[in-house]
Amino acid sequence: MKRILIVDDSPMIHNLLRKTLERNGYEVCADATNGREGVELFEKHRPDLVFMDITMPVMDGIEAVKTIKAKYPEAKIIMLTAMGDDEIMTQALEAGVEVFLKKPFDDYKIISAIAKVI
Amino acid sequence: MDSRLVTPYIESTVQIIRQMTGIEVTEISEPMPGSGEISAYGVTSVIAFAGTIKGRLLIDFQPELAVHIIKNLMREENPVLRDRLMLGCIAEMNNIIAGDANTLLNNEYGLGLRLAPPMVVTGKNMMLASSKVDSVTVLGRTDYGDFKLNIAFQGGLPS
Repeated sequence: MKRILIVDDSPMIHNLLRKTLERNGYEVCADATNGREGVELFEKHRPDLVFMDITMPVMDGIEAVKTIKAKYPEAKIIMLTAMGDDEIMTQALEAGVEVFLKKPFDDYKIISAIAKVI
Repeated sequence: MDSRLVTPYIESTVQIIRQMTGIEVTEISEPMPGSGEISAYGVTSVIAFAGTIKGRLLIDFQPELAVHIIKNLMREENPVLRDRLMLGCIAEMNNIIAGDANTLLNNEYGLGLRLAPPMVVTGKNMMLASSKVDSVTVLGRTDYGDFKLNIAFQGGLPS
């Protein structure tokens, strides 16, 4: 079963995304509420995929992606964020995310994105 | 206030509430000039954002509407409004609405607006006072209760 790390400061997103993933046969191996914790948990769990928010305290998602990718270039990361303007999308893709998704999400959006990546 | 700054937040609110909860906004008022004081319905979320201009979006729900929103979002039968997760839903919804509107404004006008973390307060008949910034209030109605938006900006778009 593919293992997924969720990095987002919203408890609601953790709750809804976990339900979506588990309903579709994925395992949520860990939850982080900021980018720094996300990097630490990535190193600990080495998930198959990461869902990463952008706006978070301590360390934002773009910085977290860059940090993870610098050490683990094979890491697969989907950015899931409320902000979807051209500038931020470019920053995210340049940092190395595989797919950029704008909230809100539904099962179809999440599963389609995962299928493109793993 | 420039309607180009206001309309995206109204449209995003209607669309995101519908998309995330299935609740339709049945009436929406014209924007009215803000007075600097807002009498809260009961469940109020505020999010600030900044770029080349600064602004904030306040969304205030009647408690019965907030309960329905959370029920539909989380599939919770009897959400408790003082529960942190439940209030977090209201904050996240504001985050998504503001993010959606800001995305449009950023792509259209290059404002570079970035969101700060949202805050939620609960309490009926609270009076929320803000500093003297240009703001408008919009009243909305659904079958489950009413809400109001207060959109404020410091600075404007080029004419």
